[in-house]
Amino acid sequence: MDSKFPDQLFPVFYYTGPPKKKADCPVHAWGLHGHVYGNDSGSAEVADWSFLAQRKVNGPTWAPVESIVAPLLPPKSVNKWSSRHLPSAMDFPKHMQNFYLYKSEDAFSTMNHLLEDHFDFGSGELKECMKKTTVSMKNMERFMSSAKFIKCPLKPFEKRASLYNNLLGDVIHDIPPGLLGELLYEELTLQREEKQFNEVATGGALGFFLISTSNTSQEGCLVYPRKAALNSLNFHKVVVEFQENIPRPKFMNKPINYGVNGTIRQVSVGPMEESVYVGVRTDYNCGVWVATSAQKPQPLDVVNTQERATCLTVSPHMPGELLVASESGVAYLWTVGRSLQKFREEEGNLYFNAKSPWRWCDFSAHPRVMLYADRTGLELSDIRSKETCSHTVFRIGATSGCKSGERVILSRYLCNVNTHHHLVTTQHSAYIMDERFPCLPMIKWDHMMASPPMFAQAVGTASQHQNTVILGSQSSQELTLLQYSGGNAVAAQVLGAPQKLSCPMKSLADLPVQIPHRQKNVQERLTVPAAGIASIYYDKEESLCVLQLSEVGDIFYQTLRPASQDSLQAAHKEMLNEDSVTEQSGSSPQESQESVNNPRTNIVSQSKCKIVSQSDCPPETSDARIHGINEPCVNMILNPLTEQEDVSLSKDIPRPAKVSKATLLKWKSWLNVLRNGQRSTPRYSQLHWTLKTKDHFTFDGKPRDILGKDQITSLRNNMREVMEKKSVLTCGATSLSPPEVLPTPHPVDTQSWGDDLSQRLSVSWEGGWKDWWEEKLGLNREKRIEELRRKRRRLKRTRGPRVALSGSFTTSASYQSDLDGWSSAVSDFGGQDPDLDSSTFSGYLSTQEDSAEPERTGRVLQHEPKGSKLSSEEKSNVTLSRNKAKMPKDPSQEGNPKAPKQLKQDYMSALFSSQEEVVDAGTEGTDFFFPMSLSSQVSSISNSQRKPSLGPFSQSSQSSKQGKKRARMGF
Amino acid sequence: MYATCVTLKFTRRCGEAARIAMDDISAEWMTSPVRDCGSDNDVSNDDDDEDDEEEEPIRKRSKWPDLPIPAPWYGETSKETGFHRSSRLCLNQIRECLLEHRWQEAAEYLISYFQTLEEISTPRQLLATEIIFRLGSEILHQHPNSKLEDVNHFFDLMKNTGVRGYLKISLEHSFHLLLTGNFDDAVRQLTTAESWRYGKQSAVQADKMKLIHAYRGFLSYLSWISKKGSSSEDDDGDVSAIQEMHTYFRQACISLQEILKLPGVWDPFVVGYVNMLEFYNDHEGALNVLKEYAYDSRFPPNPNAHVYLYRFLKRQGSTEKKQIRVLKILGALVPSHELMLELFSLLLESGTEQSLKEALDVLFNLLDDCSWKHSVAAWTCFRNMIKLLRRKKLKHLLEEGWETRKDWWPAFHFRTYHARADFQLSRQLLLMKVVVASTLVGNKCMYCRRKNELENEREARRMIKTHKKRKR
Repeated sequence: MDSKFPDQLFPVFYYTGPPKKKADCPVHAWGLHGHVYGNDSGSAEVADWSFLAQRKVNGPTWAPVESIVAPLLPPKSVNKWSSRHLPSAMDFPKHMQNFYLYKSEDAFSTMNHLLEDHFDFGSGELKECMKKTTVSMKNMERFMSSAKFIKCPLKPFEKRASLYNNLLGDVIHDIPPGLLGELLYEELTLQREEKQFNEVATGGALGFFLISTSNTSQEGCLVYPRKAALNSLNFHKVVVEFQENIPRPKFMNKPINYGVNGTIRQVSVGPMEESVYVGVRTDYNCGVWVATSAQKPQPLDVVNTQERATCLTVSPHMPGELLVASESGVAYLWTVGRSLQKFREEEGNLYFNAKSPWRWCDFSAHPRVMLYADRTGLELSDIRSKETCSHTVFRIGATSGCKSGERVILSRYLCNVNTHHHLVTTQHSAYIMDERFPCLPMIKWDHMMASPPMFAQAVGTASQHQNTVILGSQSSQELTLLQYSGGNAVAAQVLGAPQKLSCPMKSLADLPVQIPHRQKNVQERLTVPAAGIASIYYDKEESLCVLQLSEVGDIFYQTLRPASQDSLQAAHKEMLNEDSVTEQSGSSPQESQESVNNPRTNIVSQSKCKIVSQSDCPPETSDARIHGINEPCVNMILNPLTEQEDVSLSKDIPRPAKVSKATLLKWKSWLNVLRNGQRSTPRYSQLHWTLKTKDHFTFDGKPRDILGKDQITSLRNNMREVMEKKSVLTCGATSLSPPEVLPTPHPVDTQSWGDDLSQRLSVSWEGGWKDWWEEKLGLNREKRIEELRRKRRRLKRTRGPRVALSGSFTTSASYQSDLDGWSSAVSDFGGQDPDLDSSTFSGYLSTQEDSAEPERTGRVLQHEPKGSKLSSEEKSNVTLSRNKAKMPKDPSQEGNPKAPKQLKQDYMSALFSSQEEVVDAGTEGTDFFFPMSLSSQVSSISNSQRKPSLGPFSQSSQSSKQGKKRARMGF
Repeated sequence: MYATCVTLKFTRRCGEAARIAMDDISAEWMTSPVRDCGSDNDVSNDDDDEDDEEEEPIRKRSKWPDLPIPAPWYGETSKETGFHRSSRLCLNQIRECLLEHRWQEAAEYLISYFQTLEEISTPRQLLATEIIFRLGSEILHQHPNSKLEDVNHFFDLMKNTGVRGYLKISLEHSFHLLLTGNFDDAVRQLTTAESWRYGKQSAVQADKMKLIHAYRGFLSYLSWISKKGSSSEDDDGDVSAIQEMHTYFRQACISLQEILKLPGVWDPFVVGYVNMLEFYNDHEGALNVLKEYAYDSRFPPNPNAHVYLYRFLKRQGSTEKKQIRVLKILGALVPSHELMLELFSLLLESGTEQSLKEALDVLFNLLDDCSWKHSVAAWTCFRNMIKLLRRKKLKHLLEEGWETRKDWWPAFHFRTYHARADFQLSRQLLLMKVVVASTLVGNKCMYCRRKNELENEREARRMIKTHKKRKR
């Protein structure tokens, strides 16, 4: 079948030249059909024509059996695995400093020996002739001791340091600092790049070959590296068995291992015929093993290359033939037992200078025609002819629709899928090239991977004529599954969209949570870059197992099965059920509430309103309005559509979060082994002193929860449901009894405490500490007397006009009695507690009515406390403000300058200044709180309306300055 | 139900956004009408080391190796506004969903993503249009509840979101209609797109326009075929039907002629065009078209071009010499093509020593390729060839061909493993190969020995079976 070439190919333009596209749009994998041609069915009716698209959007899909990967092997304790931290090349001064400080022997030894005689350590007498040329070490030591400061070691000796530098700077270093810095910089850059993309791992160090297949299981052998440095080659028998209808790979027996000189970079496995050849590449050596289904694998041959080897491929056609390529640009045919036979050498890159020494080679459909590749393209070269006879298979350029900057990452001959097909991967795309029609790719995918795919596996599933390609990347551990069909009788066709498989990094989220530092440890371990992938296809039960090797030697696997139409429909039905549920909830009367919470519903409900009445636009906030979408018009256009749209409060379809118990158990044991391996390292064994508390707290083992088991399970179920709905778990939704409502405690009655201390404390809590003391010590006796006098005088004065005024206020019939009550209250208060919290409104009023006399304010405000509902905080602030701000204005104070009293006052004020200052700030705050701009009218209205008790105040104020404020008489 | 709603909702939302985008774009373009917005056709790219640095030899470990790592477009940038950040995160979410085939969830995210169309800068907005078109159509294709009307509606809206995508989306729309069996709608789409005009076109748009013409022609050809079929069935020579057929022919001819002038792979178009020309007895024209398609050096080395030419010549009954010439060129291009067996038989028919030599070469080349390894037909041909050469006493030809292959053919074809595998596949194959192996390698080769063993085993088994039957 493979010998056929498609009768018709999809139409495509043939461009030549360098790539023109730029890597801009990150979604090229989706959306397009590519091209289409009609299949000549010979029918006359157009309706009978079948059309074939370059990309068949609905292809068969593979579904993962479980949502996470599972470990295949217990973790090996690796002392150190590099974190994902990328070294920065600009760190080189730091590294240089470390070098000078900690490796001073290496840095300065030569000069050290030369200058030895010229330094005096005070050990012996100096010869006369030497005195002039010798430096005492005392000064030197002082100088050096300052060098311990890392911040600026030379600051105190700046001048001398520069002198020393001038004298010795050029000669003292064994390695000139300029050179060292440059080299370090280069090295750091290199390390960083290697962390991002390490091309030596191309191809992957994981291999699998099949030994036997039966109806219930499949036996194969996995070839993988082990040990910390990945320098031990293991051959391990794997059996894929069906447990509960899920295929699981399982290791049998013990592995057969061989030590290898160097880190294993690539494992290449040939096809299983009578025997199977396994090629292993390390940096400078390549080895080959042979294994049969019956016998143990045996090492056959080793070659060594001058330059670093970049590629090793085992021939799919001929036993014992391999291809080796190295960074020197030479490619060899290696027949086991014979020396290497050079067949191609390229100094530079094939099509343009990509500045890359990476080379790759592979086989093709013709056993004597080899594929030679580098970053710029692929060529076929015939090794039979002496002179290089080659033709292009693929090149980076406009022909294959490459983007600028695109480079070949890996190429693989897909012998088991189609004998003429080659897979080429770049950072952006994956191509299937047919060597019979070179240059133009038969298929092009955009694989959508974050880091370039370095590993590839292809599986041809004969039953459905679909070929599956799995790409794996290194640093981001991604696995992407792509599918295509055809290439023989019909043109090759892409099936479906790229599918991302789960990777170890993401599996951690689905595992039980651990203690943070362990979690971090595990996380670091799981984010180690991948080092290879392998796949096991079991055709009897149609399942695919994908294995992934990490750089520390962990192997994880996941199993995929074809997603049947039944399962898809079941999922669909499930989804429909969910819909009906949401529909009901959506049409419930709570919708209006929901729409506030959920902007999406908001839009929907709003648009619904607008269908009804398009003219009015409710001024509620909505996304659409904020972004300036002119919704009414759109709705008018889309009316027929929106009518169908009843409710669509959508639900996330939960990811297939099915993790079997067996997998969880596996992970558990894996994590345990990892942890134990960590603990055994002596560094952590005695980190801190621990106290055993086992005997101190006895625990009877019974759950202390008052809830029964059923209740707990039902509660858990409730919780789960609620979490799926993403709503809040309320008591009403559960079977629990509503919680008891605790009464709020009674307010504290400070009046009941009679003792001094309690009083003082409660007063000072409100900020009246100073006043309390003044009161207590009798410092303010004169003031009080004065005040009382003033009060009485005022009462006398106001008695006359008030009678006259009261006539104008017809409404306040009980006015007089009210006022009496007030005045009595005032006098009561005045007697006991003259400062009161009286001047509650002083600040406020002083801003309101500037012309208000201090006398009047004082009096008026004394009415306040009873009716005042202001918070104590405000009260206290204002109270003290009066003390301070009003006192100098006080005419009585000005009039009686009594020296000793004044002195006392000064002392007191000095004593309490701190408190006053604080309070002062508070006063200003309150002043600001009732700003001037707030019209006095408004505040007075609201005050008078709220508190009828303020009536007397407004009257009195009006009475005092009737002439001025006549306009306000109406109130 | 719910899913339909989602899809509907997003077609609707898209409409809203599309309107705005359209307004903005037209405003932007009016101020700078000459600006070429196609990033795709920006030829003066600052890439690449392509040809300019050819002379410089590569350093083994260059100081600045070109890291083949894609620029992280999804990464955070320093001058990112909140708007960009949210749209970037949203896009990442959609990508994740699509990569994991969660179409419904992706649809919901996409509804939010439409706000990126409010982007102020034109390039970004164009990119957003492109992204929304790609993602939206993918989701509509994959969504379990999407209907053809939804897709049509979405395509119609996206078409008018900016001018750049019109042709591409029209073409894509017509493909979709074709695949869903709406032939007439597809034709209508293409006709509308054909008449679309917009001031300055980018190179990409020009190519798209050519493709649209070509597909329009191709669909006319398909209509022509159906008319042809129906008229031949009627057989009463309805004048109007013939007239109509002729109209289709002319339409198709004009469009297809144009596209065939441009370098590319146009297999379906060529086949259709030649088919029509042949029907109207324009053999000369058809031959010219095919020759142009096969031999023009601007075109890619398409094996099918030669195949069509060969088939045409065969249909026309042209001389064997011509046919052989075409097939030889094809053989040079693809030595493993299945038509090589026809070439082989053609060469055998001519019968000269030279042609026999060539025939043998063809056969050797064919069997070099691993796809023919198990082909009974090829090995039968080889067996016959050997017989013929023996008869004609030209065994030295065989030696010549064998000389270059004797070091690897035994391992490639004649191992014991192959004997067993071939036997399992077909006994015929084994027998044919044994003849070849014994001639080429010798009677005592592994393959022959293994064959004898297998035959003996088979005999023994049959004996046992017959013995058992007799016993019963």
